Amino acid sequence: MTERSRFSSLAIVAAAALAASVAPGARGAVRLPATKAEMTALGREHRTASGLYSDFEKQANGGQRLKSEQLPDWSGTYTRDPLSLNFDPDQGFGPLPTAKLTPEYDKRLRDKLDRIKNHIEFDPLSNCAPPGHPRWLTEPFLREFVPTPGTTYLVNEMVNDIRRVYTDGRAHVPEADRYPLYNGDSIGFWDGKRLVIHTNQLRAGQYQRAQPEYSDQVETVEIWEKIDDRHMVAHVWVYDPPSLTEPWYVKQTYTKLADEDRSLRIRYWDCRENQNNDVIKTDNGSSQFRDFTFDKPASPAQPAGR
Amino acid sequence: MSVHDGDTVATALSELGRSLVCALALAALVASCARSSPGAGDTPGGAAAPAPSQSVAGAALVPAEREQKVALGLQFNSGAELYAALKARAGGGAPLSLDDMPDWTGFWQRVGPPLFDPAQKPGELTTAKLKPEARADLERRRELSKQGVEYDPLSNCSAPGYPRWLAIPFLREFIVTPGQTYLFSETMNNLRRVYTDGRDHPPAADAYPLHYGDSIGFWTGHTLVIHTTQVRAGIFHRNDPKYSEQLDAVEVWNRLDADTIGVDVWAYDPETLVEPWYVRQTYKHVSNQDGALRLSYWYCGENPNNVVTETSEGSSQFGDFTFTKPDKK
Repeated sequence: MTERSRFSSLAIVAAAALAASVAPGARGAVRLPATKAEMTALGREHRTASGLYSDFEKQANGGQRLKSEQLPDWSGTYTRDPLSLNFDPDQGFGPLPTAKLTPEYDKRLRDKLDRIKNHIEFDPLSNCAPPGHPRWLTEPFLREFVPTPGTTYLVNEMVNDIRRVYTDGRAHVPEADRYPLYNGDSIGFWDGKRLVIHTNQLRAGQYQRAQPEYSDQVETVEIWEKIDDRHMVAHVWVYDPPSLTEPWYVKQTYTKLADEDRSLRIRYWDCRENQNNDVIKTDNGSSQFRDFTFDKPASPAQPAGR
Repeated sequence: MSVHDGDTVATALSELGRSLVCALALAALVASCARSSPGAGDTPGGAAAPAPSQSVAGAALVPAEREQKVALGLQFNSGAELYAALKARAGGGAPLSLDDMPDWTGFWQRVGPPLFDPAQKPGELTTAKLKPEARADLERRRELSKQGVEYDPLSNCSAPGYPRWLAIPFLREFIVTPGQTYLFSETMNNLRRVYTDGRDHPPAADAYPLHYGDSIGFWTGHTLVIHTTQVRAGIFHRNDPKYSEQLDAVEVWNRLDADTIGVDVWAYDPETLVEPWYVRQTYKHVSNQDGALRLSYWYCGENPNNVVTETSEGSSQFGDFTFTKPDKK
C-alpha cells in the first residue's frame, strides 16, 4: 500500500466516523467530559444555566428536530436508582449535601436538619402539593419518558406529575409573561439521541426533605440519554445564585423495570383519597394531620380509633 | 339481540322497534363495508373475523349515522362484546408504523355543554335510557340542584373518572406512541393510558375499580378503538346520570379534519342503563401558532376552597366559610 492510498484509506475511515457522529442516532455533537469533577468544572465555566445551554446548542449546531422514526426508544416504566432521596446520589448516608451552599442557605439547611432531629418537619407533599423541579428528579415511584417529535413528556407517577419539554424550536416565555411554576418552563433540542433541556421560571422549594432549599431564581440544564437497554441517565447542572456559590452537578439514573408479562400499569394518583393528606403546617414548622395527633392518648384505657 | 330481556308488552314492542332499527343499521353497515373494503362482508356481530387483508380500516369501521351507531351498540350485551366484534372486523388491528403515525399533536378542547351527551336538547332530562332507580336518582339530583343543593367530588380535587373524563372542559393533549396512547386532560392532570401493545385487561382476580379503569386498544389505519373496564362508580356529569362500577365502554377515535377529533362512545352499564348509551364527543384543535400556549401543573389543592365536604343533605360545605350571610349586629 502506497503512502497515498494509505492516506486515502485513513481519510475514508475518518470521514465515515465523522458522518456517523452527526447522523441522527449517533451519540451527539456535544462534548461531555468523563468525570464528575470535570462536569462540575464545565458548569463553572458558565455564569448561568442559559449560558451553558447556549454553549451546548452551539456545539450541536442548533440541535435536531427528530421525526417519529428517528426518536429514541425510551418506552417502558422506570424508577430512580438508587433508593436514596438525596439530590446527589453520591452523597451517600452523610447528612450534608455535595452542593456548595451560600452561608444563608447553609444555615437554613443546618437549622432544618436540627428540627428534623427533633421530629419537627413539614413537607408540602404531605398536603398533595407537587414536588416541583428540580426535586422532581429525585422522587421515588414510577416514571415514563415519552419523546414525540415536538414535545417530550417526562412523567412521574406521583401526583400525576408531568414535565413538558418543548423541542419544536420555541423559545422560553417572554420575560414579561413569566411567573414561578412548579415545573417551570422547559425547552430543549435533540443532539443525536440525547435530549438537552433548559428549565427556568421555577418556584422556590427544596431538593428533598433533608436537603437544601432553592430559590425561585433556580435554573437547570439537563442532558438525558439512554445508556443501555435498561438505564436512562440525566446529567444535571443546577444554577441558583441565592443558594449556591457554584453550579451543582449531579447525575441521576433511572432503571427500567422488568415487565415481561406487561402487567405493570400506572394508575391515576388520587392524593386526596388518603384522608390524612390534609396536612397543616404548624407555627413551629411541624405537621398537623387531620383528626389525629402524634401525642399518645391520655389514658391507656381509651378505646382504639378515638 | 336484546341487551336485557323484558317481560312486558311495552318491552316487547320496544324490542321489535329496536330490531327494525338494527336491521336497517346492519344493512347500512354492510353497504359501508362493501364500499370501503371489497370482500369484507362480515358484520360486527358476525362470527368469522375477516382475513387481515380484507379487514375494515379506519373510519369505515363503524357506520356514519347516529341512529346506525345506536343500533350497533344494541347488538351487543357489553362493551367487551362490541370491542371484540370491532377488532374482528378490523382483522385484529395493526400496530402503528413509526413512519405513518397519526398526527394528534397540539391542544384540544371539547365542544358542547357540560352534559355527557352534547346532542341533548334543552329541557331534556337525559338521552340515556335509564333504569327506574337511576332515573329517579337523576330527577332527585336535578331538583336539588335547582334549589342550590349540590355536591361534586371534583370540588374536593377528586378525579372526574371515566367516562366523565370525556365531557369535562379545559385543555387536552392526545399523545400517540406505538405501544401506548396517552389521553391527557388538564383538569387535575388526568392522564388516561391506553395500551395498544397487544396486552389484555388484567385477570379478573387482579381487577379492582379505578378512577380511569383499565383501557386497552387497537389501531386500524389511523382509527383508535378502545375498550375500558374496571371503573369506579360515578356520575357522567353534575346534572347527568350516575353509573355503576359494572360500566364498560368502547370508544372509536378519529381525526376528522385538521381541526377536529371525533369520538364515538358506547357506554354499557347493566346496573343503570336499559340499553347502551351512544354519544358523540368532539374535540376542536386550539390555535397555538406562536407556541405561547403551554400546560402547567394543575395543583387543585392550591385553592383553599378546595377542601369541600358533602353534607348529610347532599350539599357542599366549603372550608372555613358558609353560604349564609354573616349576622348583622
